[in-house]
Amino acid sequence: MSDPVFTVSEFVEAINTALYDFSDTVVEGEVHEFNIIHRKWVTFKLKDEHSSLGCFMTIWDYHAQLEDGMLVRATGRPTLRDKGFFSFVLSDVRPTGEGALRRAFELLQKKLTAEGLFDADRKRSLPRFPEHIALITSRDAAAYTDFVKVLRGRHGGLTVSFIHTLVQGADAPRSLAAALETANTHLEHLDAIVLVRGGGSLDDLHAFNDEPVVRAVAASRTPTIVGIGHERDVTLAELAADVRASTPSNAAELLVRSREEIILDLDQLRNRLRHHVTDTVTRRRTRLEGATSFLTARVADTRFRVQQYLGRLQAVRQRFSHEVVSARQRIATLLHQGRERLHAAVRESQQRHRYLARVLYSLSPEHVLRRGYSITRGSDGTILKDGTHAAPGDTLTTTLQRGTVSSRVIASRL
Amino acid sequence: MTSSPKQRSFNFTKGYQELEKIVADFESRELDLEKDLPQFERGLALASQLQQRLTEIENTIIDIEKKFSSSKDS
Repeated sequence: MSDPVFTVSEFVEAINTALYDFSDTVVEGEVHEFNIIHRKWVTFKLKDEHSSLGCFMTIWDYHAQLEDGMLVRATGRPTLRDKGFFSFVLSDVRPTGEGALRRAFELLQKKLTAEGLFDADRKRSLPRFPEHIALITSRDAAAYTDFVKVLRGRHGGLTVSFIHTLVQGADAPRSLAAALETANTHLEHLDAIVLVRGGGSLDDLHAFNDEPVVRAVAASRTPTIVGIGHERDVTLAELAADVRASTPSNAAELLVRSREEIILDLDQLRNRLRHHVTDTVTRRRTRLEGATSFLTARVADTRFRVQQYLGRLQAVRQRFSHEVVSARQRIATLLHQGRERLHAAVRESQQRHRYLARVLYSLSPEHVLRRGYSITRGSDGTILKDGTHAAPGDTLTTTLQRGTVSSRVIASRL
Repeated sequence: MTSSPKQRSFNFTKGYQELEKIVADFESRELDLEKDLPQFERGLALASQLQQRLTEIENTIIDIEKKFSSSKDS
């Protein structure tokens, strides 16, 4: 029987089938020639002292921050590609070792800081008296016990919805992200989400520095408080949280106030309330007393002034009465004098009238005619005063004391 | 699955806020002793009620079964 002959495609497929046993192989090595192509594919070479392995993965599986020289653990499947070259196709890659983890942490921190994920103005405050909180941690962790223990001594009435999660290991990031999603999606009237874990090395805490977990904490609809034990190293999840607690116990202390603290606050509020009312009453009383004494003084003062006015009024009235009497006397005198003067004037006027009548009478034409004088008028009736005004033959009329005489002019001369 | 805290007849947060509001209101203005007396009594009653609540209530812990959004995590 001759050896089988493959087509190229059949051979590639056969090789890949044979390589199937190497699925999910984890290979540790140093990253070289790291590259992201068209924001879709990630390629790099995994190297050690003697060998080099070409790696390929999609950007959707890439959640780390890698750079050349970093020690990583890559999980993947060796594949012979259609074009004939060999590639280690990865489903996951993570930095390993303190140095690489530290570097990856720094790179991610830098990136997320630039995005503003840790900005102070994004931080929300926790409610003062939460009633419903989600506690996300491992059921077996000391963090759980610590948190619950501290809660017992504090303000009660709190409903804690506990969501168990892995806090360590390769599956921890996905478990944590799912727990955060459960809290945000399925719990109603949630006041806060508490994420706690005991302290550990950078490797132990890697899930809390995982990019999707950090983003989930930052994007949480409910305010978050993250407390990782023994704050030797801060994790990015803590930086992304609204409130960072130093330990799981501290998270409980920050979230839920102690009964004693609230009782003190209540006492203070009650005292402020009472003090304000008492103070108002005291101030009112003082003001009332002040007003009363002021009024009493004013009344006394007014009474004194009224008496003063009355005295002055009495004096004015007396003076006025005197004035009236003397005025009345003056008026009577004036009236008498007036009457006297009027009578004298009438008498004088009568005498003068009689005298004038006599003078007037002595001057009248009748009186003159009586003394023998006559008045001669011309034919036109005018009084003849000039002889030349009468021509011979003119008829003249002469008025005597008694009767008239008509005569004819014979001659006239001067 | 959906979970929510039990409905309570007296809400601690609201009671506390109301008390603080009364105190702040009293401190911000001149009191009308006759008109404000009911509010003063309300404030004192709230303070007592809140203090009483502190001694009564215990915390409740409910275990929530996590829902995984991704099928890969089953």
